[in-house]
Amino acid sequence: MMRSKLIAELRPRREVVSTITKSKMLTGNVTAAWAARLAEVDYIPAFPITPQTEIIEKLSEWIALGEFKAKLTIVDSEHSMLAAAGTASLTGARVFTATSSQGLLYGFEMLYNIAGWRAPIVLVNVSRAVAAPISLEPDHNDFLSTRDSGFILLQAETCQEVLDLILLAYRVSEDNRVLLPSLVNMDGFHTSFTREPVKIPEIEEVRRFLPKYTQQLPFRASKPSAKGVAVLRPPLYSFYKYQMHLSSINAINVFKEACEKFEECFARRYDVIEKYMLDDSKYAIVMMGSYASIGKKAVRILREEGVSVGLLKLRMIRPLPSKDIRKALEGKKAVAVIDQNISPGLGGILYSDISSILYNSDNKPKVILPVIGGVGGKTITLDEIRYVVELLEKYANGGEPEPILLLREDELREVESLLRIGVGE
Amino acid sequence: MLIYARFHGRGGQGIKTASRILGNAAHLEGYFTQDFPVYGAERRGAPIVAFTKITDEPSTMFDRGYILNPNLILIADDSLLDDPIVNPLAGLQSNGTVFINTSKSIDRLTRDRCDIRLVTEDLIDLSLKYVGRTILSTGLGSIAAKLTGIIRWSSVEEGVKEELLEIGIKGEILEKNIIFAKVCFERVYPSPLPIPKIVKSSKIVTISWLPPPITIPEVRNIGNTEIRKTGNWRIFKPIINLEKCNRCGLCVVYCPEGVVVMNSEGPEIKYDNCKGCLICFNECPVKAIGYLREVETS
Amino acid sequence: MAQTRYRSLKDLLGEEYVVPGTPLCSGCGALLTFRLFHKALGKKVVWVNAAGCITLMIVYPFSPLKSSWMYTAMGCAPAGAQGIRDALDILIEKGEVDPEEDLKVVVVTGDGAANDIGLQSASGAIHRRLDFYYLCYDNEAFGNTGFQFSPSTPYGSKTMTSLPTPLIPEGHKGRKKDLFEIWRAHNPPYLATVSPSHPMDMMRKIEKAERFKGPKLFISISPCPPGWGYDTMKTIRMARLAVETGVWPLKEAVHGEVRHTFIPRSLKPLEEYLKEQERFKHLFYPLRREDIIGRMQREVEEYWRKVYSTEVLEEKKD
Ligand code: SF4
Ligand code: SF4
Ligand code: SF4
Repeated sequence: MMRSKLIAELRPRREVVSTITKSKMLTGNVTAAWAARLAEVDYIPAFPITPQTEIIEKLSEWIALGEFKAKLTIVDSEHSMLAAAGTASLTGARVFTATSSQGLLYGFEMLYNIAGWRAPIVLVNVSRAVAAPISLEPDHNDFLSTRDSGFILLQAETCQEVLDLILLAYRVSEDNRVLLPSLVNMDGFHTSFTREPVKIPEIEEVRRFLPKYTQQLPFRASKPSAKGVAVLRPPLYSFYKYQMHLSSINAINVFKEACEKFEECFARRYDVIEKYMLDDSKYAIVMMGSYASIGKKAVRILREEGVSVGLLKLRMIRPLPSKDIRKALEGKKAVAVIDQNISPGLGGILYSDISSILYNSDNKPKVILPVIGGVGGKTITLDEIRYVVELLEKYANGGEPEPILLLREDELREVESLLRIGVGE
Repeated sequence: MLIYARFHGRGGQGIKTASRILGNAAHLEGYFTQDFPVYGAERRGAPIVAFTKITDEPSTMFDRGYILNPNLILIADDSLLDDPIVNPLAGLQSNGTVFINTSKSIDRLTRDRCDIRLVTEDLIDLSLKYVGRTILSTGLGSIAAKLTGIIRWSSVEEGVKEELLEIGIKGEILEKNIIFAKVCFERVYPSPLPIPKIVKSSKIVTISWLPPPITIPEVRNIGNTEIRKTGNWRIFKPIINLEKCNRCGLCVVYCPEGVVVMNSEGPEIKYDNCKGCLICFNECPVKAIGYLREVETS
Repeated sequence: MAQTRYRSLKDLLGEEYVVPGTPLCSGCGALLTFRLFHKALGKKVVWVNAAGCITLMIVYPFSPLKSSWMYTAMGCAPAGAQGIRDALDILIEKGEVDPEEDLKVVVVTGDGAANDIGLQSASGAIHRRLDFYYLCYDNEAFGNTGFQFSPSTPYGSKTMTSLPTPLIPEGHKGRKKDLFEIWRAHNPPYLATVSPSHPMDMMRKIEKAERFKGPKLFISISPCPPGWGYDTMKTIRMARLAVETGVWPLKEAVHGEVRHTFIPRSLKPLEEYLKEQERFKHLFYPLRREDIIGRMQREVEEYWRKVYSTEVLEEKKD
């Protein structure tokens, strides 16, 4: 309060919507750091891991230079990092932190705790395929493993989206109707290390969009409270958990509301999903994250060739915006879900989410095709998407497709030659 | 035939073992049996509960978990009767049997519920006599077995042996326990137990979103445990003799619970929450603190 | 010690911050230590806890504390303390929190969390010079789960996972981890062992620690009636015997410099302490295991030989 008053006195308030904000070439990582800075976070507990490191490097540089006032503590592990993040949030600090892959899994226990404490931190995950075997390239197994934790899950495609979703995430998470932490995901390399023009808003504009964080009952000498306490009565435990669910569901509309305000402030429009050439298409492909850019390009080319296909990009994964997704996919002849993850024994994770949404619809697609693509950062080409669409046409009148893996002949040759070296002739 | 036996006691009183003695004895007798304890956060001294289900018809054993409609209840400690959270008689079937370990007479119970059969014994007294220490599990398990009316002594003896060996009790103490169990077995008589009626639960409700803070698991009303009357954990009651007391304050310092307060007249024990550990008794430098068995004080 | 608030037992009778009615066992040594600690620290405290018996003091909707409490997870209480400390620091620095509202941040865990699953988190916090207190109540096993051995369990103790058998007559074969020395290697400004049997020593140490910024670490022996197997009334007696037999030395380390705060003129035989506890009963019954008892006794003597040769002599010098 004190701070905002001071600023208000010092500077005239800017009423103009900043459509003229200049853009800068930034990586997804540096953009995430900018978002934390613009959100004026108080506290950043951190632990380095590739490919997230650049985010905390940038933040610590700004803090060291005195450009940005916040406390950054490098702790001993992601488990500690998330513990510190959660307790700091309950103490009244706005908290930002970031990790990747193994780090996310190492701190996994604390994700459920932070959500259960109702501590509205924002955590950025830079997706990287999970060991074993060790990989540095992205897929979504790390991110999607958190889907039952209670975090609000948002997936960015572009660097601009990284910035915007982090700001949106704070607004949604800290809203009393939600009060749950957010996890904003970007793909390692394809977004984290890719530079593209990003519009960095002025801090006053961000303040107009994002109210100050107030924790209802922070740890203070005059108002003691006991937090993180055990709840051993089963009905009460059910009650709390179900309230978390209802609060998460609230996040759908709170996010939409925030998007309206966001557009008013920054002239960019978002929604829980994004449709690309989808409304009038016969077939649909469902994707998310950086590879959706590749998907969009393929859809455009296929459209030019006369194939009636569109793309649904998922942006909000938890809560799952079922109504929006159902409406977007109802009436399609066939839908392919390209999962950039693998759940051994099931196939793709999002496939079951999408199927469950459509099951009760009267106007559901004839078939939903499970496709595994881009696991471990494997590239997806136009022809692979073309192949998926051909399968959709084949299955358009029904059938029981098994999960398929997108892998090309040239890639198989590479695999074989590597195996020859590793295994020996 | 279906026996739903529920045991109430306090941590450390051997409730789990008692329910297992019954379970094992019934098993040895050839019945289908299940036994199951519930652990809470409570440590030694706090109320706990255990269950044993016995039937001769396996299909009636398609069941698991809590017993809400017992036809046999065994209460290890009469102080539990007045505990509103424990509510040990809840769901007891009409014509069911309740056994209470007590040295008092508890007529008020059958005054409130004239449709039940009440059996009491002073097991503390018996165990002190036959085992030389306070042990309840053996006596309680043995009495439970007898009250079912379907288990012979030989099975109880075997059950006691197996269960006590399992928890590391052997040799002379085990022998004494068997004698104690036998004495208990012979002191009570069964009467037919009713078939438990299926419990009808209240209707399902709809839960809608509620605003924080009530949906956050945090305690705002702190410093509130005094209303839990942990005084009823006590077996022995410490008593300060103010004439002997020299006001040194050691009992105040050493009481883990912090229930000894120093007044102008001297130290005073807040009995509502004194757990009866007797550290104060043991540490008083001038032996100004004595103790009595809880029953003798009332 | 120059000035102290604690000159006699009377100075220990002040305000209580832990109200009765907790679900902890009757005669619990950990609860006593905790209560005395809280007395010394005052009301402006936030406790940060990892899974252990003390966790169960606070089960919704109850809390016996007049202060704040934060349960984290078993492996990360010191990190939870870091978050609270850092948040208070930055919010005070930014002028958003009144310094009057500041809190002492105190980690409280059992020996299992301190020696095992939470050691990394503690090591990190101490190394980072976090300004906090750490109280480890040491009941020498995982008491909360029913007394299985922990790295803090002494050689020769029976636990539920180290039952003495003809094959393993001593019960627990491992040695007690020296948490004091592990922590001391991090060079904290203040570090001490305490015992609830010696409350003046305990209170003065906490008082002394207040002078230091940074990690202030305490390990308290916490006799546990059900786990150790003795009558609840003997909790203080057990703690006192541990000190007087020398198996639990009372000491402190200021900036790494060790000093014993209680040097027994002569040690009571360890046996006096052992034979009153069920967990050591197998060393005496059915057969007296002189080999095992003797080994335990020698270890204690070895320790004190070193102490006598340095500290007592030094005292003579001045
Ligand atoms: S310990 Fe004994 S002498 Fe001292 S105050 Fe208590 S009752 Fe009195
Ligand atoms: S018996 Fe004595 S020491 Fe134990 S709780 Fe009661 S008053 Fe306190
Ligand atoms: S098990 Fe031991 S440490 Fe735990 S509450 Fe009981 S007495 Fe205290």
